[in-house]
Amino acid sequence: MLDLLVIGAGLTGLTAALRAAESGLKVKVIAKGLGSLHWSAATVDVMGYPAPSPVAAKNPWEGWQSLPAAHPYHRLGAKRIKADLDAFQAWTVALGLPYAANADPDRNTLLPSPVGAFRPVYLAPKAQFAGDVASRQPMLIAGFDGVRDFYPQLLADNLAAQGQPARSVLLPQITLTDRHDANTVHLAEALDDPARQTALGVALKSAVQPGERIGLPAILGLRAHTQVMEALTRITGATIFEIPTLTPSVPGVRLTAALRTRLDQVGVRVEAGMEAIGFNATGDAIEWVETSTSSRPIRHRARNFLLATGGVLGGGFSSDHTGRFWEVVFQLPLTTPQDRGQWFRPQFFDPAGQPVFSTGVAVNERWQPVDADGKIVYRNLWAAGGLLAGADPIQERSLEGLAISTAMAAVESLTTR
Amino acid sequence: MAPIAWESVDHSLDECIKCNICTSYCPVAAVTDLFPGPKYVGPQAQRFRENGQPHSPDHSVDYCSGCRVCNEVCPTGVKIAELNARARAEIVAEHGLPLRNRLLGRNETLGKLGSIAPGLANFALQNGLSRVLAEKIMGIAREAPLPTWSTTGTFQDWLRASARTRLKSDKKVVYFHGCATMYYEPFIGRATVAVLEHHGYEVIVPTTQNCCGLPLLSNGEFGAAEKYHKNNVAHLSSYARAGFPIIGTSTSCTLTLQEEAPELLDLHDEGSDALKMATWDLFEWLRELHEKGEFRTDFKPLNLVLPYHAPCQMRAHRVGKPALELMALIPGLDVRESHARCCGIAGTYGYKQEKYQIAMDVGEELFDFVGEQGTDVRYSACDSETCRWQLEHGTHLPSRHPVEILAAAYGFYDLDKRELISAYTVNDHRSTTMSLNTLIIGAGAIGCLAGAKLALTGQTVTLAGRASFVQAMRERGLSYTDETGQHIVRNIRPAGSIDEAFARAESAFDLAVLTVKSYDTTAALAELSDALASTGAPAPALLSMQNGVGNEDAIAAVLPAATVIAGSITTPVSMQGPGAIRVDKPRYGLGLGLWRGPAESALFAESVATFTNAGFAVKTFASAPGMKWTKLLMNMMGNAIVAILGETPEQVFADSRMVDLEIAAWREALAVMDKAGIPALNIDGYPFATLAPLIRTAPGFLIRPVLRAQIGGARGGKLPSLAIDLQSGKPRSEVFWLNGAVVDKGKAAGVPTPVNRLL
Ligand code: SF4
Ligand code: SF4
Ligand code: SF4
Repeated sequence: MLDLLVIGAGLTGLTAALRAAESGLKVKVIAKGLGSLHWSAATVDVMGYPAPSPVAAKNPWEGWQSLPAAHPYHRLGAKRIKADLDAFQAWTVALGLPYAANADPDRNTLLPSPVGAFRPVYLAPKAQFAGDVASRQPMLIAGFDGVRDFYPQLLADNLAAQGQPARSVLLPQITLTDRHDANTVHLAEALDDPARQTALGVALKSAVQPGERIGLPAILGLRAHTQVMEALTRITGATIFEIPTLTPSVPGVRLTAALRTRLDQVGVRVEAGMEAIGFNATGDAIEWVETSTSSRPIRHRARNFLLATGGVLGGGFSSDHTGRFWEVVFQLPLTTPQDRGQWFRPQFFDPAGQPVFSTGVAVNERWQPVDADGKIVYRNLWAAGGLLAGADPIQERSLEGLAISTAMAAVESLTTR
Repeated sequence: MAPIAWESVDHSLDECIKCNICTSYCPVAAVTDLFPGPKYVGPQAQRFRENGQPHSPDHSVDYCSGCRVCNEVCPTGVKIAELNARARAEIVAEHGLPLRNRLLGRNETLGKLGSIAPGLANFALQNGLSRVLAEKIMGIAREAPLPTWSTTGTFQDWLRASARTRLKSDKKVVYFHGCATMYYEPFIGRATVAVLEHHGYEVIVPTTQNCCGLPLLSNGEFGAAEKYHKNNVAHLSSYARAGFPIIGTSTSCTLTLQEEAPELLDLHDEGSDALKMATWDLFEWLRELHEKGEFRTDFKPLNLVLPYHAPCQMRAHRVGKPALELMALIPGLDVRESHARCCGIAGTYGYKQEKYQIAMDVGEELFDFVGEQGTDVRYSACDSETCRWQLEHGTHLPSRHPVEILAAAYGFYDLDKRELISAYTVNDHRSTTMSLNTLIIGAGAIGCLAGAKLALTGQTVTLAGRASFVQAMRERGLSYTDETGQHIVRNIRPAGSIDEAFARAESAFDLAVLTVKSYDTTAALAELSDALASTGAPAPALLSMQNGVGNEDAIAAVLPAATVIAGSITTPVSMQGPGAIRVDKPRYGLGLGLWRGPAESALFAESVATFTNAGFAVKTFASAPGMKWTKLLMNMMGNAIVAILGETPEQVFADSRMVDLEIAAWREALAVMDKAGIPALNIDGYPFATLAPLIRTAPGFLIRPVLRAQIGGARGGKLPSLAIDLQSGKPRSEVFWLNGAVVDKGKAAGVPTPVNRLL
């Protein structure tokens, strides 16, 4: 019998599973598909915009007073979140995909986004971290002819407009691959080949000027990322950094792969393609969750269940044209107003965010879902990550911080019962 | 042509959020430009396809292998692979289909044809020239890993031949074998029947089943596929309604019966639904047994590193990896899970000339994984036949179905030869419900023989012997050669000492078999009683398979509470080196007699049953001393004389003076037995009871020819153990326990024994 069934294979689910397995629990992860990490830059954002403001927060631990009272961060506190993120960073180092943080733990770092905006992040893969705009060291943004969704000229222009010196160069795609049509993952895979690394290094060397660092789309190797970074640095003599791309995001694929490798080592199975279609509870305890198959549904039994299916964008909630809005696995009570009129503000990109995005599953101090009266819904159910009520992770830029810290807190709660 | 139904997948289109995760994981898009990836040919292109309007905007969809990796990873549940399969069917409807695809789609017809003259068909198939022609004319890649027809008959042939001996039971399951098991790999079917019967289930194999239709579906021939599926529904759904599970070992067949056929062909009638719900992958079904506590785990250790790949079709079942979970229960087996996306072959995809290289490139991830598991890997494992063939093609290592692994772990399947082992007659494993944990002391010819035969029938065996034996065992297993050829037996635990045997035992030994030379008995017994005392384990029953007559008494004296069984083996077997024996004559005679113990000793009865199951011709003797003494007579013959003269038994018996000496020694022994009240018996073709009066009284010239024929012939040119001992310069010799025993007993009984004393 499993100690814990985690539902959802995004950052929340994988973090919770690893934490639980490391504290000795028998864990399995099921998920409908592979998680949202694939469309994220795979940085760890803790708090970029605590208040509706166009200015990014310098210190991620400040300005929380403007967050809703039900925000999970209030319950956790900065100290604890910091400790959790330290633990996460230690994992990444152990997994060979090291993340870096600002030397000052009370500082966000600004990194270029795919279009050259500044993104406030707390932790980032080392390769991205070298794009920190604080130093203003000039950048050469290198792109590739025919590679979709990465425009070096636009990027460099936008960076320069914000005071970060940058120029661009466009290399032929043939430097990376003989293929005509390849997406970012395919390109990254092509660069796993040392011959390609050399070819790219040589091309960059002839384009770079002294004192410049080189920004490239985040395709610098899939399995051989470290080697690619080393080879390019060695050949060019310059600092190399990655800028995240639109989906599919290679840094996200790398992080997923690294976490899954680790989970594999500690005996946790991650089963994708498993869509939850039902569950059974006796009294106030969940007995099993049922997933669809090519024939009879199968039942996953466990002592405890952790829901990590994400919010509206992650697929944890669904709605239909009648205005019904529900949590897809356990039909948990939501804080979402049933009146659709209150879900959105008139402007989709309203800086105050959309009310519907900060609604979700309410939990008590033990990270267990509760109903409107604060009563625990199922005594062996926990919830974490983007589906929690009180946060608007997209608008706040707190998605990963929230995922990691609530996942760890929920696991701690269920193991110290 | 059946109209292509889009309804059931169309709505899933709107779920696509254009995240491109599918494209990142699609193994085909990863290796070729010819295929732009699932998102483009699936949900995106679908917008331009109209129901009933056979105009696909993009023929590159033909490069989709149908592996369904995209379905598995899509976060929103778009049925991309099904969209692609339909689009392909539209293209086929519009443009028709090349002969090649028609052929490849008709696996069953090909199977039947080839089985008429499998040798010839295989020759044609593996022959370079005909493969070049097949490539030129039909576009079947000449390097592709095509299967070979079974030359030992189809599965149906075996079913017919084994009909009377197969298990009948109230518990029944239906087996859907599929074309591959029927025509190419009947051994998969045999292993499956054996495993199911091992769980007490009668296996029904309806002869009316036919191909599931998958190859036709994946080649876009929906109309022909529909006929196949409807026929299966017509013949199998009654079993489903009656509540029988319909179990398959080919993951593509089961997936097709469950989901692919009904969904792609839009068949949702009651019969199709019943079949869908009753169909199981074998391991998914066994996992259910396991959850109910009914899965048998009487495994023998399988000391293998086994890279395992769950094929795409298994993953498309969405039931996890049940074969992996169950194989993990086998002791000694180190299963390494592959996370490779696809082996590349995807049914018949990789057979096609234009796709062969793509398939090999896709498979590289998996081939590399297998290669990384070390050089001592002997097999890979996979549930799907085409994937196994591809794996073998790409790795040059044999690949096995998990049911073969399971059957081997139960002890009734030979993984190399891919056959039920000779000792398995269909009923054997059922009478072996008891399982004795046996310790064999002494790894000489007899110890190895007993160990090999017990282990081959799945008994738990520990064999304690010298360091050279332990090393040989660790390096290559026990080499056992009998009339059926050489067997490498690995499921024996070697131990360098009795102490070590006890230290490594998971449970108490039920039976200890003493096979050391008689002069080592005392030391072995001392070691055994020390081990018992220090571990506090209960004393096992003791069976002496030694020559000579003092051993049982010695055992009885050292272990006063133990059941003691006297045994005598009468099969000529010789040592070929440490842990390597050869049976010279397959007689397997084994006499067993209860020496000391309760009259209705259960352990004695179980020992008899266990050795019978192991393939010994067991004969029980009411008088254990009679049996032992008679055996002594046999061994005396030749042993001493040959040893001294250094001649082979044939030479000895050819010399009449020697025979006379033998006869004199025998006469003494018989007199001693007579006096002590021990009867001479007829053992295993040696008619001592009949000969005894003759030997005692008749003149030498009458006896000699009889002896020559009876004994010289039986032992042949093989040196008796005594001569070997003397030749290898050992100080002690078993002679003291043979002729010496006669002298001792004679003394006790007051019978003079000058000849034996001399020898
Ligand atoms: S993975 Fe699914 S949702 Fe994403 S692009 Fe592919 S089909 Fe669309
Ligand atoms: S079924 Fe396989 S080959 Fe076809 S699109 Fe999906 S992932 Fe690619
Ligand atoms: S999937 Fe099964 S039944 Fe269908 S062709 Fe292949 S072996 Fe035959």
